[in-house]
Amino acid sequence: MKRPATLILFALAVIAGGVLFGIAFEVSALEERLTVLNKQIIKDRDSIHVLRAEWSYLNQPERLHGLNQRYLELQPLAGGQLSEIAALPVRATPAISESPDSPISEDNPAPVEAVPVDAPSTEMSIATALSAKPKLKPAAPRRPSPHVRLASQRISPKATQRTAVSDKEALDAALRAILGNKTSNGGDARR
Amino acid sequence: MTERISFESAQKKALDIARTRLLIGGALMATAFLVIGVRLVDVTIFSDTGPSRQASARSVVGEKQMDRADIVDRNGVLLATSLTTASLYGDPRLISDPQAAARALVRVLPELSEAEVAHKLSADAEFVWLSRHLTPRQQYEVNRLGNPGFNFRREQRRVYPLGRLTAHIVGFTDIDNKGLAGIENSFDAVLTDGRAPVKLSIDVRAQQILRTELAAQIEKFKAIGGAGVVLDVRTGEIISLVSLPDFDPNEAKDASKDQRFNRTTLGVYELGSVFKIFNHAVALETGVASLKSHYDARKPIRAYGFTISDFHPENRWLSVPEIFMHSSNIGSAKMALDIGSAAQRKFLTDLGMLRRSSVELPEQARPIYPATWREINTMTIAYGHGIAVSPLHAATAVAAIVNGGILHPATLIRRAETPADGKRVISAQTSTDMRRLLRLVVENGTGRNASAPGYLVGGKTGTAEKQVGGRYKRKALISSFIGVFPMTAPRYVVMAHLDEPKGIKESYGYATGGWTAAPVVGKVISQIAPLFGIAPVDESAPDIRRSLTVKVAAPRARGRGVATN
Repeated sequence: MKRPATLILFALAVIAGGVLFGIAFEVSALEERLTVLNKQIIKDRDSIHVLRAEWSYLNQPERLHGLNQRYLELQPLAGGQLSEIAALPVRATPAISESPDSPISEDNPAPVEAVPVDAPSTEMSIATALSAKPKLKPAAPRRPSPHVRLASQRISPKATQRTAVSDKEALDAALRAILGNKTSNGGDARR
Repeated sequence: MTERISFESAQKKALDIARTRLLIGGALMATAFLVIGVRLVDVTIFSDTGPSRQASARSVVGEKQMDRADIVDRNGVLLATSLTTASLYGDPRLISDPQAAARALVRVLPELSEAEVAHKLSADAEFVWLSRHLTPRQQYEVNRLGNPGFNFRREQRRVYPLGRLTAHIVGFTDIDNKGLAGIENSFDAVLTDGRAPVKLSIDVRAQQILRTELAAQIEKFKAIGGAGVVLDVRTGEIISLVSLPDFDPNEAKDASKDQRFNRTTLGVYELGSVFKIFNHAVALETGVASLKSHYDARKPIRAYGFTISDFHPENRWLSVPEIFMHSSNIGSAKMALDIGSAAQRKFLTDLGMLRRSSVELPEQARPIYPATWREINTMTIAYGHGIAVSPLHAATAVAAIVNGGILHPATLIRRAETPADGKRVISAQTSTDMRRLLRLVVENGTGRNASAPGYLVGGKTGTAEKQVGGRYKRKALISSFIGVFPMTAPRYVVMAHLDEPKGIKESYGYATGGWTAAPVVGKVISQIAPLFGIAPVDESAPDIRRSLTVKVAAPRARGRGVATN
């Protein structure tokens, strides 16, 4: 009677010890992972912070204005370019379909088009407003400016696997762009 | 047998001793285990500090990210943020050869002076700052020197990505991130412990438009500075606030005093005829005059050693709308005499013109007004002389005049749609009358240059001579224009203000508010109205004309015949 009980207890002790060590190792592995993740989170947060600052910096209205003048030539919206649907001229006569396949019968009248087409007399028409401005100038092939390129590398998965040096370079470039902003704000528009 | 017995008893004795010892040993062990068990229960169950502390130490998700919260505009555009940078310090005790170390460091960081670094490194100290806020590349280069005396400390640096655009609003901090000016200063405590960004009422797009137009006009008229405000009349929110010249808050220490001076809130000026808005409002509100009343403006007023004359003399009787439209000083002064000093003073107090503004900026000035309010003061204040307020004061008060009569304190912080802290200053009827008068000025009067077709601009010009050392300087003007749009249901007040503009050929030598400041307001309105979703209307539509026109007809004209529409 005594011997089997001892054996069972011994076996239980061994199993409990094994499980305990298993859990202990698992916990320490998880903790290690947590530390790594926490470090990564802090690092990513810093990067997000830098990138947000850079985004704001690159979106300076003055810089966008310069880029617009260079590539788009968009004009501010003038009051005369806005109108209401009700104020649009309506084509009074029904547009007669020229296709012989769909003869117009009494049952199937031609649709009345309420779309303004070529109404040069009205300045307010959206069509003329759109065709007047903006002109699109064929833009020169855009080379991204150096720190834009580096910053985008920073978030691409490829870049995160690079060495610490290039990682630093990316953030460095972004930071330099922001911190080194000693001259006028429009400076970035120059190339 | 006896031998066996004695043997047995000796064995028994030994067994007894062993048993006793075992008992003592067992008791000791049991006590030890009991103590451990009790302690285990105590630690795991009854101790409550343990688990929570552990959890917080293990998770960074809920942690405060930065030492100082961001500042954003009403659309969430980042105006100020903190970036983590590395700052280099030296430990002179660990540096054996300061000269060599300095030489090596300056090769990496060329902006430092070798002599200064060497001096710092030979000091008898444990800690000397060498260079603050390095970029990661610089940090890497310094690390590569391998000098154990060079160490880094992580610091946060305040960065203003939009640079000068919002310099006077956001302000700046010192190198230790302590707010020195603007919102950085007034919200220092909130920014330091807050995790959520501070959201301002500013819209950077409107800010850019106002700044660009104002800067262009300052350049054109060779003015020494300028100020501008865009204010939401329904909430008192400041949409845009510009003071020129301005500075780059990233390099705030290089800014001159003039650049740091906020003309919009810290500068007080005699704003001239802009004050006729308030003079007319109080006259109509108290019933002293109506839109049909008229005043004799044939001759300048001579009183108390002053001569009050008109800039554009009409030399005839003028109706109340005409006094406003032609900006007659004589007519306004006579109206003010009818209003009386007490009523005028009370009204200006109600409008907040005699105290500091409510805006959340430390750069604020107290208005300057006469300590004893004599009759002559009443007369000059009617047309904006003898009282000096900041441009923001005037814009806030005009917002109350046109929005139906409710004064909302000006604020730079984003608000809910309809704030409850408004205070009625004039009746809705007076407000409607004032809108008509303001529209009249832009349609037919001195403010025609401020018109922005389709947006029903109304407003008032103001030109005042600048006081320098207690005397008025003839050629130094303060030219202002306060515009409001759309006049049918006012949404925004736009004020522009130029300091010492010089007349040019294009303006026929004039440097008055109508020529210098009004065009800025017109251009700004035509650009920001589409941004804020205000649809243009047909200004000649009959119902709009009916709601905004006012009968200007001159009273039975004396002397020459008058034909004014």
